[in-house]
Amino acid sequence: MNDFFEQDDFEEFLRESLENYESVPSDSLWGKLQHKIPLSPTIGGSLIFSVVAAITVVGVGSLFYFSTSKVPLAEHTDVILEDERFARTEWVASPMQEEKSNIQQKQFEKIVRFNSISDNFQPQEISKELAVRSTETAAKESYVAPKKINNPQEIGVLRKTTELSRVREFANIIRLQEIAELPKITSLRGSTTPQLPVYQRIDMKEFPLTLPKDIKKKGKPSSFSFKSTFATATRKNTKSTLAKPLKRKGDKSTPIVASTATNTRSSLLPYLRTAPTSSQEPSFSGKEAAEDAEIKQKGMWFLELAYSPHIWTSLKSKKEGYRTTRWLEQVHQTADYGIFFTERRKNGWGFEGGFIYGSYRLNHELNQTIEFSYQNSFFRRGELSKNYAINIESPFWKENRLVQIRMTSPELEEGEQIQIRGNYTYKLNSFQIPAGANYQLELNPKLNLILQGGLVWSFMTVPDGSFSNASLGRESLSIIQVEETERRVFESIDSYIGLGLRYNLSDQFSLKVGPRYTATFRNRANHNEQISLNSWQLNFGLNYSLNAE
Amino acid sequence: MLYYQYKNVLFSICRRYAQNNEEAEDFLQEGFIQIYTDLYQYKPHGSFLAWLKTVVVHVALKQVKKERKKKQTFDKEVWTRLQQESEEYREKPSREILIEMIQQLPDGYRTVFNLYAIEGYSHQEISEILDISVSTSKSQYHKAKRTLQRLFKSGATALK
Repeated sequence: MNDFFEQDDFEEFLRESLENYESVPSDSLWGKLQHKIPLSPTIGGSLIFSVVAAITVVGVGSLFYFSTSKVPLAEHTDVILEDERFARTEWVASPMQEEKSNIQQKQFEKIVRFNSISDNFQPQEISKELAVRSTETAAKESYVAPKKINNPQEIGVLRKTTELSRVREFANIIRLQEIAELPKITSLRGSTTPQLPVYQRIDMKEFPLTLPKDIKKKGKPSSFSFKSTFATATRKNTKSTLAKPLKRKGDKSTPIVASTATNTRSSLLPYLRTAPTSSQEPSFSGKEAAEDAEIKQKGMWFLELAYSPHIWTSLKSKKEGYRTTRWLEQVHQTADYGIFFTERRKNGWGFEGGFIYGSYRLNHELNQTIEFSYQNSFFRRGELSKNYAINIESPFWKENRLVQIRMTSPELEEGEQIQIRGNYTYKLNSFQIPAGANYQLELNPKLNLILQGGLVWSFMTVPDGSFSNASLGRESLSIIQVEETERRVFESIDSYIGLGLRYNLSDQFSLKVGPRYTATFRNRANHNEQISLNSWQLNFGLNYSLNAE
Repeated sequence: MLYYQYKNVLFSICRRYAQNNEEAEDFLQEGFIQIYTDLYQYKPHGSFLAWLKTVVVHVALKQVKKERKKKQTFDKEVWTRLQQESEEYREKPSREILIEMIQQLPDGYRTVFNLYAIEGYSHQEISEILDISVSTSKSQYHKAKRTLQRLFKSGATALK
């Protein structure tokens, strides 16, 4: 026994005995390890959290933007404040004499004239909205009378000036001040003075506005807007929806409405009004189509469904190893699908954001030579198997995969060369959250040129990989297993610039097409690998206008 | 999967460097963390398993250097198991017993013994790895060998 420790081959015996000796660790070890290794699936959890957080932020941001935006109607309607005295004078001159007595009751403080600068304008509806009483009362207290001067225009009555707070929500409040000293117009026939009065337009933004305080006390249903898109109403013991969206007779589209009715005291009515637009109706100021066409572009929002095949320009792999030459195949395999929200403002600038998803299959043609060795081989069930680490060039990084090779008979000699050929297919998933600005230039009423740029928060996951059509050059050899790709997540901030043409198919729909270039701006190193997702994309987008009639 | 394929071989290595199995699992855990971190830097020049072993050995050495303050005590359970070894193994200890005997060695002895007798490092290399002199490495190894001899002899004697 003592001889064993003194033998010359003592170390050799130990080495042979213990080199590949296997002991089984406890089952719980992997559980502990999963939370610590950098490639663990817990990364996926953080990815999901990040994506959900991003969606929430963008969603809440969009909702906030919409909810704080002005009702588009305000951009198309003027309410002209006039002193009672002047209004009555004008009224007397109007053909609807039977209404005169009401006007002269002096129950009101201000008279307003509705002055639409849009088409499909229905002043009766605004009169109803203006009158916060019941419909019947509103009909009595509001007056609609066509006037000969500055047509079209209407007259409404405000019982209290404080009710202008409601007017503010759907119209611009202005005052018209007559210009006393009119300039003479010089022509070939000589100098003349205009026969009609000329008015100066004065904004009334500083007009003191407060909400009515006595509505609830009177027990009458009240309705007023929150941020212009939410209306609430309260009334005791009602089981019906109190607030209803206003729909103008000329509306071509139905407002987006969602309401809840309760049997207690309140109901909530969020609604999104669509704005009337016009390229034909003369505006109050006399400017015609040009100004209205411009107005049409104020704060227009579009929902865009996008399809974007692209070609990466930052592939690490060599062309002969990675099939970059078959660009059509790559285009087919690397298309993104996106949902965008884009905005057009009056001045041409706008905001854009959304979500992009892509699922790619990328092939690597493997051709490697490995050197056979009996060292560290495993004998199982009469067969010899051995693991080899082979280097696979993925699209964006280099990595090693384990290939387990089985031999039916150990016919190979030590040091013999084995050729491994096959296709290694990566499955990649991409999720991107772009946010940027755009500038849109109207080339003609049907065609817009769009310049866009911004940042993209990108995640690319490598969930899978598979080896196919493998051959080893010998029938007695076969690949029995390739280690699965470890799940990894690459996160980066990319920047993009793009150019596009949008063709308006109708008021609601338009098509957009144009190239876009995306370049990695900053990425987070993952397993010491810096990846770059530079790519050229061709965007095809179908736009739906959320504001148009 | 990498872990399930190699955990047993690597755990066996960890056991040789650790005082007990719990500590060996800690070594293995740290070893796999290191492996996963360095996996994509691996250059396929040699055996992948050899590379894994190298990583684990280095991690184990690092852990040994960091944590060695406990007083060495002989494990009574191992002593009992030694006594229960069958006649078959009286001439040459079983691999399991060998590992458990190695675990009983003092840290310095065990580390040098593992590196020289099993991993195949030279005393010169061990001196560089452990930052000790070559003569110390040789001395530690011989003492380790004698201790193992004594341990096994004691166990076998007890068996009789």
